[in-house]
Amino acid sequence: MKHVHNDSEVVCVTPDLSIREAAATMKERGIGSLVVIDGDGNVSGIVTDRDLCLRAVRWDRDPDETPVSKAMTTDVRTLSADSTRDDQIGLMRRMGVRRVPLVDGTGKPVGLISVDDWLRWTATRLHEVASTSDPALRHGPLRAPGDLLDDLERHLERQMEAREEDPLQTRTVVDRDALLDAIAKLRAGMTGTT
Amino acid sequence: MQDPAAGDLLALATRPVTIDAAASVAAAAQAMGEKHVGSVVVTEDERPVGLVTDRDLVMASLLRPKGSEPPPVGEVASRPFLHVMSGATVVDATNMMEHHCVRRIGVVDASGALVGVISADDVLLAMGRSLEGLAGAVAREFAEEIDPTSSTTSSYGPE
Repeated sequence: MKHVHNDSEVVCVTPDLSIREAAATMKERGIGSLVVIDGDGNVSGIVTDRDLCLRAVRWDRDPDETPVSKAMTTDVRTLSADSTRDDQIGLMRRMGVRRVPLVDGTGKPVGLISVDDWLRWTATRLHEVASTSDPALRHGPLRAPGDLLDDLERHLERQMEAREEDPLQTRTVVDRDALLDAIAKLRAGMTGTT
Repeated sequence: MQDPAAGDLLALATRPVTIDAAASVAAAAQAMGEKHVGSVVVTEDERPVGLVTDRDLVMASLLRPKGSEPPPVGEVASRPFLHVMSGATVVDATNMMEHHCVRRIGVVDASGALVGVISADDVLLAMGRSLEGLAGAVAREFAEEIDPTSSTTSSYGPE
């Protein structure tokens, strides 16, 4: 079973697991929640590290005598594994939850989506969108005008060669001499100002 | 570009909840539940010495050796107390979080007094408001281009 975006494993446990074992599992796997499943494999609850803090540590519950069912949240909303980003974020927002188990057609958990997953996804997309408005990334680093004129000259040469090799002569006719003259004047102007 | 968030750090931060290092982990969990926070600042002689999260309390309390009592919160806290000055920027705060792989740090004033705790969630909420504002501006510009009468004030000024 995979956590949808970061590929860390989602762990399902049974309601009779002790809260000590639940905490140990969270620590070992580096996760903050466990999906609790009933005998049929359907989602019956979810327990987070915060649930354990507020429902067990706060009341000094015995780590070995307290089952995870005493600390879990039972009113769990799930979504289909093929639900959309809008479905998932919408449910998190409406219910004020950070994690939503994703289930298959028979209600068995197949994944878990979290606020953090969508946050990382969003940050990456935002970075990409912001990059498109950065001139240096869009056009490469800004280049010296002299280099740009060199490019233009080479481009003209190649165009003329291509035209001479083209038997149908379909390429646009450019006034090469006039353009080279313009380039020479630009270079002279640049030299004059520096 | 000037950091537009400079000086805003305290506005984003949460009022700190503190607990003495000798208190029990249960008392710290109680404070987190009552104050709806995910961390408390641990103090010795009323000076902040560390910070403890809900997850820290869970691991310390539930994974303690069988038959033993839970440790006092002072033994559980992450030390030293990571903090930024109240005049720091949001970027200073997030850089520190990133550097130390933590989601919460303290905010301290010039006299060394604890004035807040800033969390990654606090920053996220602020970023969300900024993004919402930017998205709203784009949406409105499109709407006005399609229907210039849709708003009384043009974003391009009087024509």
